[in-house]
Amino acid sequence: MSCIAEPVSWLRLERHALGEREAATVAHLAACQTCRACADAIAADTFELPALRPAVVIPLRKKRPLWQIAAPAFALAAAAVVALVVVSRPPPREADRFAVKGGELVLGLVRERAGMIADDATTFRPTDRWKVVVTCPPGEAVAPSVSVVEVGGSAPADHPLVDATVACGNRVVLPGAFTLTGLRANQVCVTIGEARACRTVAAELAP
Amino acid sequence: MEAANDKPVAVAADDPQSAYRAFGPALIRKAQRILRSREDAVDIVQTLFADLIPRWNSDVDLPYLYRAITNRCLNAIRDRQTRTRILEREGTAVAPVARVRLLDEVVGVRLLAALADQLDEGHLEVLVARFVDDMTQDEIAEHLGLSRKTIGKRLDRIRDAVIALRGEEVAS
Repeated sequence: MSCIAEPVSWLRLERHALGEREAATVAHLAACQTCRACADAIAADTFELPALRPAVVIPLRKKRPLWQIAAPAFALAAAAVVALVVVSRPPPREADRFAVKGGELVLGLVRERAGMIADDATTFRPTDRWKVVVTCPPGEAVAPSVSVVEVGGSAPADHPLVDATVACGNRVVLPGAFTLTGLRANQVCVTIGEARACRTVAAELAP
Repeated sequence: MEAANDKPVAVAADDPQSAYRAFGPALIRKAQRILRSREDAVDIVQTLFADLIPRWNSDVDLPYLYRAITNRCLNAIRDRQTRTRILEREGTAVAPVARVRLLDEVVGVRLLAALADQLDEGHLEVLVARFVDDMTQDEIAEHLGLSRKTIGKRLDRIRDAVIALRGEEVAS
């Protein structure tokens, strides 16, 4: 069974099913058994539409007792010292070993696309520019480390921003910007001491 | 056939839930025609809406969402891990009605996956519009905002790629 002429596209059939009556479509469906069968298949395809999933919300880290924060921080600092000796890297600044007091670190991503700014966007295109904003307990100077890694990829994490010391506070903008490329989702993480927060951004093609 | 009437279907323009209820089934059917899996299709549509809701605007209509679903499905096929899972399922999935064929071949996910390695997204979008969505060249041109000549050239390139693929299969 084949169409009598040029088939009516599925998009037109769907719009027909939604109540749009285009004369050419109506006439074609009256004459073409094949396309009418497709239209009938749409009408017969009744199913319960699943409820929309709520948008993913990155939960804030719960406050933990100081000792729970301090112990891993000391362990991390000790490990860092050992690593320094082994690989002979330049010693990190004091701020690099800082654990965020209060245990709360919130990562925000700001996307700039063709002049449009979007807070906490969840998708990227290669032409987008991204800036990182962090919220951490105010009053402390910290050196956030930003890493980007492809979800499910084998490439090592990239560190797109130069190291900088900033004063903690509400939505502090880190210096520099970066772009995301590739077809996989990217996980962007910011680490301050032992506190870490991440967001995942999915690849997107136009539109 | 005349060019598509791209008048948006009446939904509350500022309400993504309304658009989801109106267009969701059509989008799921479209994604299912590409991926041959309703489960994957529902996932794709839900993820699209979750991403769009924060930046929802009144320009989002069915043709826009149709294009977005095409791109999401192509991304899924390009992703190696997802592709493997989709291809494993294809053998058991019911093939959709094929009214437009590409060199006598129904364009399924296996062919899309093979062509995804050879064609850029512009060509793949035309491929899906013509051989999965069954659009005419005029309709594709209007849908994608390109000239009919460009669509014709891309279809020629797609046919060449399929012929080359078949040649490789015969040679191996």
